[in-house]
Order: sequence, then structure tokens, then C-alpha cells
Amino acid sequence: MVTGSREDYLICIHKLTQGGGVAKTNDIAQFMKVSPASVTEMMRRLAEENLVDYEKYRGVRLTRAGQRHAKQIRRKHRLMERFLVNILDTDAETAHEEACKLEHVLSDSAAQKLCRIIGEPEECTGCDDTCDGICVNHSLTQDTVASMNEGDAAVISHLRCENAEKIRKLISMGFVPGRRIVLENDLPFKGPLVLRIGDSRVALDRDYADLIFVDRD
Amino acid sequence: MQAHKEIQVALMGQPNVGKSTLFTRLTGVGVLACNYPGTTVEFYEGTVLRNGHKAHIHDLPGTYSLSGESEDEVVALRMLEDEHPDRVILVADATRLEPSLVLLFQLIELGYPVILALNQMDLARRRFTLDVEALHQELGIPVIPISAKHGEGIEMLADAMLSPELPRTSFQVRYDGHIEAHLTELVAMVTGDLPYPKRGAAVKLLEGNEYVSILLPDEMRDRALVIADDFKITHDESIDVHINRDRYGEAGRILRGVQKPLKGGPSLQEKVSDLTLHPLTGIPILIAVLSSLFLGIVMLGGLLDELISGIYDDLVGDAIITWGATVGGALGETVATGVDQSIMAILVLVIPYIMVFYIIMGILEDTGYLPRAVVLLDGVMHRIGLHGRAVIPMMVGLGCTVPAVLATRTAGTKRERLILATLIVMTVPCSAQMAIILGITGRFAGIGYAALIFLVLLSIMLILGRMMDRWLQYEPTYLAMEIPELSLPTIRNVAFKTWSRSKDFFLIAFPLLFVGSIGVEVLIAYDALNFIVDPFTFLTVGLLGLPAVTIISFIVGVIRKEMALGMLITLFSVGTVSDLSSYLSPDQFFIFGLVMAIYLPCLATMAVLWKEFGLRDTLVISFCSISLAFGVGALFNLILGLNIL
Repeated sequence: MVTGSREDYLICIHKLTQGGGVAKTNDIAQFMKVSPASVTEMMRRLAEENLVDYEKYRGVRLTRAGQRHAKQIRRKHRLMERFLVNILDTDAETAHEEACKLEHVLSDSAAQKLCRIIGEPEECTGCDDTCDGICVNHSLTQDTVASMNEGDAAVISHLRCENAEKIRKLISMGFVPGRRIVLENDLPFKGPLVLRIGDSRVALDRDYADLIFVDRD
Repeated sequence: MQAHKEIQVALMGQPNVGKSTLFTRLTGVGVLACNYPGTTVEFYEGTVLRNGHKAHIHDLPGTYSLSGESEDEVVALRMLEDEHPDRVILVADATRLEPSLVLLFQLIELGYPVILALNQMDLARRRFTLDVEALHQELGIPVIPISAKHGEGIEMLADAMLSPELPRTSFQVRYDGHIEAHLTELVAMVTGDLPYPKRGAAVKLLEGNEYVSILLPDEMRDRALVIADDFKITHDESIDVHINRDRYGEAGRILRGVQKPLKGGPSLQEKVSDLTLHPLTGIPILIAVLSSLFLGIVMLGGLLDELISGIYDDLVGDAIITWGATVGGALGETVATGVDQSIMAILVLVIPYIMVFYIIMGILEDTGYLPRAVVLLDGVMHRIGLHGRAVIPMMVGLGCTVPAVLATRTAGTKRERLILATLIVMTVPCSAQMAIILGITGRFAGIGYAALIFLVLLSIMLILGRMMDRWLQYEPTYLAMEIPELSLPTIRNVAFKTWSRSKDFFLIAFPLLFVGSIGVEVLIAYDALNFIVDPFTFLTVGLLGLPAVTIISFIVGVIRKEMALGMLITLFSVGTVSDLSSYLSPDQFFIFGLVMAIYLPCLATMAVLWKEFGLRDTLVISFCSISLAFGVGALFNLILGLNIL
């Protein structure tokens, strides 16, 4: 079980390593307003749970499991925020503070059910890792096109914005959030993916496919 | 009034919507290819005359969006800006309207008077009903259903294009409330004259479009940057993504209102289309298509070659030479022989090989099969440092190297283009080289020898590709390409393309060959040839084991490859091609064909290489290909010599 404070560490590392690379112990300490020594201690423990890769003096990065965990908390945070603002009419600042606490205690199944109540909060189907679309189509999971199988259908939730040029290309080819895509063929020899988008058919390299986040039907 | 004023019309559309087919329909054959200054992106211009009205049509390169994302799009944008056309015809594929509507919204936003031409209506009608009138009401612009392929609706489109007044539409895309508020704010900040409506300019500014934002005051640009940053924080999505999301939303909403799907399963066309992309069926189909292209040229070309030269011999024979001798004596005979040789060379080259190639290529293009070859081969091509897109330039290279080098533009990075161009220049035989390999080596030494040449070329391509992949620094580019539907080609369109692509060979190659042949004949007549031939004996005789005079063939081959073939005939002063076999042995024919196939690019190719890659790379490629050609030639001369012993 990961406790609240440890989850905050995960989110902090997630934020600090978003552009790639590692987070330095000192940066984490500054961000969390704690001493470097307690950061080191926490990193050791998180590493034991296989949530982070930690090398002394070099820095920390999230493992895949750690990333999954951090993203899930972010989603719950956004979900709680939307719930507090949209349904309970709380003001934004209070909602944020409340969500910071609730995100740690909300169970996955409760989150799923909450999704159904608040529907599809449009302003949250965001554009980078900090805010993966939280509950489009009543689901909390988040995949990229590259992880789809032949015959799978999905709706684009957002594009990862790491490279403006690539994103422009994707947009101009019609890969825009909200549009439905079907993976028709996954070509051999690491060839491109053949996708049906709207009434068009597009072949897309895997590197592009990694930038498109989808919600499965 | 404006009755006789020439109307400027821009033809726009996304790639693969049938824009060029519509263009040839509208303009007929009066076409002029243009290069936009500073680029080699080609576009076409033509004129339409109708009821005393005249329209000048610019066929712009295919564009997915107005963001200036590729070189083609930049050219299209600059054309729109510079020419300020009186009309823009947006050609849309009616079977997949959504993306075209998104492009249309942007044209309307920027204030262009647009006519929407719904192409492929015949196909679309089989899949859904489309309420054209409702679409017209919704958009407030003329909407004209056409089929460029079958000529449907062209008259109506021409009438709409030439009508003196186009209605101004009040249609606009409704964006997200936050974006609308920012637009209102930005529109109020516009000062001075703008060539675009304020709202349209503000949208483009928020999208980060440099071509429009440069016209706007600094404080507006600064404000837009702040808005974009804020938007990203509050919405967790960049503003340009959101703007496009709204556009697609709008397009979807409109289409739901005007388009009702018909019942029924996928058509035969769609089923075949699926088969060409599924790896299990697609790869065998690909192999069949590529070998039929290649074998088509080899078999049909060889057949026609023999047939035509036979007919020419029977009909004309020595008549021209005899006539020349009668009229002008010895000199007359010399000139007439030159004339005879050049006619012969063109006949056995252009019609059998070049035209057959362009007909097959034209059919392949019009079926929409080529993008499928690109997609299927992409994974494999990565192994020689290339991408699937390289397939098309390579296939074009089987016709002529010049358009093939230009076609490498689609290959992405400079590195990839350089690898591709080098491989094409050295290892993909153009139709003139093909004619030498098949018409000389294949005919006189046997088809086995010709096949061996192709095998050597293929091996060199694989080895060279891998080597260049290692050496040249890696810069990745990624495939993102639309795959059009398969469709049946029309004879009209294929014939038109074949003519416009092969006419250069009649108009440029023939006169050159004419002058060259006469020149060589004169040199032979006055025994002046030895001055050129002797210094190179070490190369021709020593290294390659060929007769010394073949150097003339190699030298003129630099000007145009097809001249090398004509020259070989001239050099041995034989009346007809079939006599050549008495001058060279099968091994010599093989060496000659092999060296010619790899040998130095022709002048036109060098010029286009220079333009595309600069002088240094051109010299490197030329030097490498000449060394490789003679090196490989010498190697095989050695091997064959050993075998005989």
C-alpha cells in the first residue's frame, strides 16, 4: 500500500521528469519542502517497492509501475476537482486543496462510478502526461495508438505535446481529439500502422502512434 | 463591365482528391508546368475560355491544412497570398468529406471566395445520400457535385467559376467559449489594413501560423502567446489542438445533418482494397505488381523494339541514306546516315521502353496502388536506410532519372534523399539504360546476360544502401500518409499523362541525337575519330576488353543515355541494328550493358542533382558512379576472361 505522502513523492518525480531525464534529490527536496536526507530515505523505500529507479548521486526516475501509479493519482485528482466544481459547486481553489487529499483515498472502482456521474468533463481531456483524459467513456485507463491491436476501435483523447512540428502534422492529417479510429493492419517488419480515421485511411509510423492517446470503446 | 477580364482561379484540395484530373478536365491539354521560385514544387497553370469569359487556373500542390507544414503547403500558401485569386475551387473527395470541410473552414475564415467541388460523387452516392442543397444552405457557398473522372458536373463548375459575382458567406465555425472570447479580444486589437478578415487573422494567430501573424502588430502577437500559455495551463491542451478539435466537431455536426448512410456491406472495391493492405495477401500482390511492372517493360519493350525496328527496316531501310548520297554526295550520305540512326534510336527507345513504362506507371498511379506499395515496404526499406516512400522515386527512376531525383523530395530528410538519389542514379536503370540492357545485351548476348546485369545492379543497391546507412548521420523521419481508395484508371487520363511525360524525349532528345549522330558521322568520314578514341584505349580495351571506339558511346552517353545506343550503331557503321552482333562478343555486350547501366548520370540528371544537393554532392555521386561502373566492368571482364581460359 502506498500512503499519501509517498504518492505525493511519486507525483513530484513525475512532474520533474516529464521532459525525460532524472530528478535530482535536491530538486525533490525543494519541491516537497523537506530535507534531502528524508528524500533519500523515501527513494530507498520506493525503489524497494519497484516504483522508482534510484541511483545514489545520479537521480531518480519512475519505473513503469511508478508511472502508472502517478498517472492514476493525477486522474483521480482531476476527477475529484471536476466533481467538486461541477456537481458540488465548490470554488476552484478549495476544490484543488480538497482533491489533493481525496486523490489518495479514492478507490479505483469509486472513481469509475464517479466518472459515470460527472460524464465527460471536456476541459480535462488534456494534452500531456499530467492530465490524461480522466474518464472518457467511463474508463480510467489510458493507452496510445501504438498499444492497440488489429481490429481495435478507440477515440482519440489527446496528443502528447513534446514536439510542435509532429503535432501539427498529426492535426493536419486529421488526428484530432474526439475523432474515432480503428486499427486495421499492423504491418510486419516494424512497418507502419494502417488506421481508419473517419472515412479516410492513413498509414502512420509507430513513432507517431506513440503520441496519440486513446480511450478504448 | 468585367465580362472580358481574366479571372484568376486557384484549384486547391488535399492530396489524392482528384485535383489534377479535374484540372485536365477543365483546361484540356493547354497546360504549362511551373516551378515556384526558390523551390522545385511543381504546379500547373492553364486557361479556360467560355462564353467570352476567360479564367486562368492555378493548380496548387495538394495541402492537408493551411499551416504551412510541408514544402508543398508553403508553396500553396504563398500562391494564395501572392496571387490573391478571385476564386478558390476547393476540390473535396465526397466519399470522405470531413477533412476537406476542415480545410474549407479555414479558407472561408481567411475570406477567400470559395466554391466547393464535391468530387467522386458517383462513388459517394453508392455509400450514402448527400443533401447537396442543405450543404449549400449550411455553408453559404456554391457546392457543386462532380466526377472529374467521368466528366460529370464539369460544365456547372465552370459556370460557377466564371459567374461574375460569388455570394459572400456569413458562415463561421463556432469555437469553444473561451476561444471565442479571446478572438473577440484579439479582433479589437487589429490596427491598419489586413489582407484577411480580422477574425480569420486572429484564429491563425492563435494557431501560431507564422505567415499570417507576421502581418499583425507586436502587442497582438505577444498577447496571443500569453493566451496560448494560459490556455494550455487551464485546459491542459494546446490551443491549436483545441481549435482543430472544434473544427472537426463542426464538420461532423454538418455532415450528420446532410449525409445519411445507405445500407449494404462493403463493395468489391473496398474488399480488394482491404486485401492489398493485409500483410498476408498484400505482400504477394505487391510482388506481383512490381514484377509485372518490370516484366512488362522487359517483355513488351523487347517485343515492340523488334517489331518497330523491323517495320522501319522494311519500310524505310536504306532509302534515306541512298537519297542523301544522291542529293549531297559523300557528305550527303554522311548526314543522311546520321538522320537515319537518330530516327532509329528514337523509335527503338521511346516507343517500346519509355512509353510502355509511362503507360504502366500511369495505370498504377491512377488505381491508387502506389501508396500501398509504400506502406507495405516501409518496414523492409528501413534496413537500407530508407523508408517506404522511396519506392515511388525508384519506380519513377525506371522511366527517367530526372523526375525520380525530383520525386525524392517526398523522402523527408536530406540524408534520406541523398541515399535515395545516389541509389537511383547508380543502380536503377532508366528507360534508356533499360533499352541498352535489353535491346543490346539482351538481344545480342542472350536474355541470361541481361538478367545477370539486373542481378548485379540489385546487389550493388543493397550493399550500397547498407553502407550509406552506416556512414551518413542518422536523422529520423516518420511516415504519415493517407492511403486513397482503389479506383479504375481511365484511358483518357493515362494517355494524357503518358504523352505529357514522354514528349520531352521527342522534343529534346531527338534534336540532340540528330546533331550528335551527324557530328560523329562527319568525324568518321574525315577519320578524325582517333584523336578522341586513342587516349582512352587503356580504359576501353585495357580495362573493359571492349573495342576502342566504344569510348565515343560512353562520352555521348553523358549528354543523354539514349544517344549511347544510337552511337554504338553509328560507330560500327552498320545499316541496321541486327548487324551489331558481328562486332562484339556476348561477353563484350554484357560488359558494355553493365558499365552503361551504372555509369555516370546524364547531363540533365547532373543538373537536377546540382540543384537539389549542391555541387559537392553532385561531383561525389558522379565520380563514384564512374569509378564504380568501370570498376565493376573491369572485375567482370577479369572473371569472364578467366572462365574462357
